[in-house]
Amino acid sequence: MAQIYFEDVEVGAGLPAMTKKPTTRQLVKWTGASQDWNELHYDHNVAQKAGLPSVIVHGHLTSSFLAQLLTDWIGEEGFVKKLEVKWKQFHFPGQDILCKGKVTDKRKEEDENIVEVDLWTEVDGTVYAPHKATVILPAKG
Amino acid sequence: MSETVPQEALDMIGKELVPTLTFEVEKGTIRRMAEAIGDLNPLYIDAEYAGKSKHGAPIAPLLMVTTLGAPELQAALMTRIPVGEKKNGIVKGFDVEFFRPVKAGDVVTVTCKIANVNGKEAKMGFMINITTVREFTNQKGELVARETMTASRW
Repeated sequence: MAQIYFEDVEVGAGLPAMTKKPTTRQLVKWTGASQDWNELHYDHNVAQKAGLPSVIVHGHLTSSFLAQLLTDWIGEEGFVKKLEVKWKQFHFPGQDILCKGKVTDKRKEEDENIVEVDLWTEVDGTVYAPHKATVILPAKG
Repeated sequence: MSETVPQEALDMIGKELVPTLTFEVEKGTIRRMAEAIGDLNPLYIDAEYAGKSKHGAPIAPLLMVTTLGAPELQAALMTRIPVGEKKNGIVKGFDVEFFRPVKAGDVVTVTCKIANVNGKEAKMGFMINITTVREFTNQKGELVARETMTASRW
């Protein structure tokens, strides 16, 4: 993956968007990997009894989609200092989840090249999971 | 008379909510998590590639560290906080500070303390909010990440 540098970043620029379409199989894979055994994520009957139309995507998995968007963008030499995670609505398997990001600030602080990024998931124009990230990017040369 | 947070819950501020836990992170676990996300970054899944990188070993996807001990925290939030008859619980997000990556071969220790307990009237009723701080350290005693999370019970 190409490396992005602090000098190349423009405030207001968008990150390359990514679409995720989680399946119930993917939720089971995440359940096994994370050991989050909440039945709402894999037992349709339990989800329906809770008033949901279907099983729901794990919040951590949704945030991991956005983390992938971010870490792909910052490259191997970038570093994520902070992530603020918010979940406003549940995602469901089968949704086309658009993962997007935008640079909101860049500044030098002591010896760090700081870039602030808003990240979010979106379905049909509605924001489901707004996040904020603070990253450090390398300088050229 | 308006509802207030039980004193027993307020007395938990500053105390441990979940006993210290330890997790061995190995490359197979990292690979399974990367595959579950659908993020096939070679730093996560290619041991040879990652071995030649500055990390010297596969590293975990960014948020994998926060999944360590998360089920135990969720269970404790639902069973160990004295909130009377409030049966519902929700977490709407969390903040994480990262200090260094988690690598294959790391042994991560997780501590969990209650930082704050407060109450607030909301449309669903009186909600008790519990803020926890978890710290993740590796086998060298280096801080890897710090998570601050607020859960609500109603």
